[in-house]
Amino acid sequence: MSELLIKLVVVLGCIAAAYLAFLLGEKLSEVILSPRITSRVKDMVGARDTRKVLASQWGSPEFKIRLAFSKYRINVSGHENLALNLARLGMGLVVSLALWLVVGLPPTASLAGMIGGLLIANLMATSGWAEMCGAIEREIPIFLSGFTSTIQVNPNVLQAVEEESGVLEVGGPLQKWLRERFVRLGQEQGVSAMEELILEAFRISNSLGAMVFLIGRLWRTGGMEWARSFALASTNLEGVMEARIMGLAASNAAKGAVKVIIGVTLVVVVILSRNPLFTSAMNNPLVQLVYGGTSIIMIFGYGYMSKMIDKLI
Amino acid sequence: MDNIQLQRFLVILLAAIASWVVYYIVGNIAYEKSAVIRVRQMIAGRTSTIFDRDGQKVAAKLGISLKSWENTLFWAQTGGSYLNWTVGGIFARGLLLASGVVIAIFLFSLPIFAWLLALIMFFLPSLQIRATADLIRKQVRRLLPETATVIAAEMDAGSTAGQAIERAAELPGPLGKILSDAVSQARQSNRGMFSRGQSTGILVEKLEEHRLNELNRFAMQLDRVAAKGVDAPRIMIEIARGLAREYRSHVQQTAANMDTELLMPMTLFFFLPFMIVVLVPLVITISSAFS
Repeated sequence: MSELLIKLVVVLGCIAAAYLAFLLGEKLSEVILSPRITSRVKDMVGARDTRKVLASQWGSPEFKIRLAFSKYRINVSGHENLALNLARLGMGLVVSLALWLVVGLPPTASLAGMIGGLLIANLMATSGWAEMCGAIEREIPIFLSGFTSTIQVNPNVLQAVEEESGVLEVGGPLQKWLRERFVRLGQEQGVSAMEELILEAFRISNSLGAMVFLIGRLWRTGGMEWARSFALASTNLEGVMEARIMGLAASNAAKGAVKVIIGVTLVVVVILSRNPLFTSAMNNPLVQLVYGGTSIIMIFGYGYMSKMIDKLI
Repeated sequence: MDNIQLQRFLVILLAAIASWVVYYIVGNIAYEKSAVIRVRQMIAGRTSTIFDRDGQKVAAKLGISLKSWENTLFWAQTGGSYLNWTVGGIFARGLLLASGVVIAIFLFSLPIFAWLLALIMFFLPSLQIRATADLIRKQVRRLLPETATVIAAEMDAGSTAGQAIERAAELPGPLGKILSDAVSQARQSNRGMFSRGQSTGILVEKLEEHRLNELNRFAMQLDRVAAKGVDAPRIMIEIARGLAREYRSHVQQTAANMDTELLMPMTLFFFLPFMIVVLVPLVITISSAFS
């Protein structure tokens, strides 16, 4: 027990040293990396930073977490950060246990799984958002082609949007956004809601942003002249969206291929590690380091490549 | 699991919990500075860091030209990042990082390939800015079809080319910002937004500063459209359609080249680690069998 206590004291000493280094670094950075005028003025007047993106808005970090959990029918609203941290911890434990029980690494080396779990939880929080944006983009041409004709019959923009959103996939993300954000905010704030809606739409997709901008112009100006211009513009946007949908299909196929490669690699790793020939090698710290490091690199690699594929298209 | 393993496991777990507690407590400490301190800090503060102020002078003394980094930094700043940085600052930061590695090489007698790390560290800040700049360039290219569509719709509804560009400048994103800068400069100066005779319009001039082919072409097309009069909306619609077609072919090309693009990360993140996982235990088993 006394040995354990000594180790604990060492760990606590390390933490204290790290904290001192942090304080020292903070002081030094004040001297070398002086703050910008805006932050100095804010600091002087004691102003708190107002958030650019509110938690309730689509595209905010909190929204992305809510979305990731809603896939598993878990409602975490109001406790998003706590939920994400718990997910990181839980996922870390699961990966660590898998490394320990399945791969056969000793418990200490299996703790590398905590970093892997952190990466997986972060990836989950962002990939849900990317998937939703893709789903919205796929439905934009359907909405646009219907809306151009609906607006000719019903010149009330909000009613036309609500009516046309009924054609979209029930409970789909575009229908949800149009009804929960566009129509609701439009009814509450009138045409002045467009500013917020355009920003939010651009966070989701450039084409949705352009579409909402054009609907906003149609709402502000009214008249048949703009309805005709909107029809012309939507034909163009449909062309852009067709290309985008094609790109999304290609990126999904590429992501699928990456997943297959990871799966096959993992199976081979497990078979190798469980092979009686390598039992003695598994006790070697270098081998443990290699197995732990490889797991982290592969998880990081999947996240990196997913982002890269999204950026390519 | 033996006792030592359990102890190690517990120590690491407790260390992780303790660091989280420290992090949590530090993050929640809020302290109010006195008004005197706040005023003093504001007056005494500088707009840029020592790197950004003196880096250029150091580079000039060493006879190094930093021209090639200017456009990259300009693009990164268009996206709202690194606003206080200068090319001299990039150089100074790189120099500082490389010096750190060089000191470590001499202190710990690191092997010769550690010099490669010094070189990488020197270029790290510029690579970081280049990545941001490339992202912004990509976003601008991606925004061109939609922005052209908005301009075409505005012109079709009866607005002039100038009014249509002013509307498009309201769009969020880097292209909106570039257009908005051009519009505000045209308002402030006595020169026109579009070219007239021998004098070049502000729009073409401002957009050419970014040195991006697609943007230059777009600026010239807008400049020509503005001079067309009644036919302008029809031509603008054609331009928007052309940009949409271009985007389509770009997506097709990217999808076709996806395998090649993914080859390098695939090798780095999966193939190499896989080879190491297979080879390391094998080599250790064989070497222990012969020893």
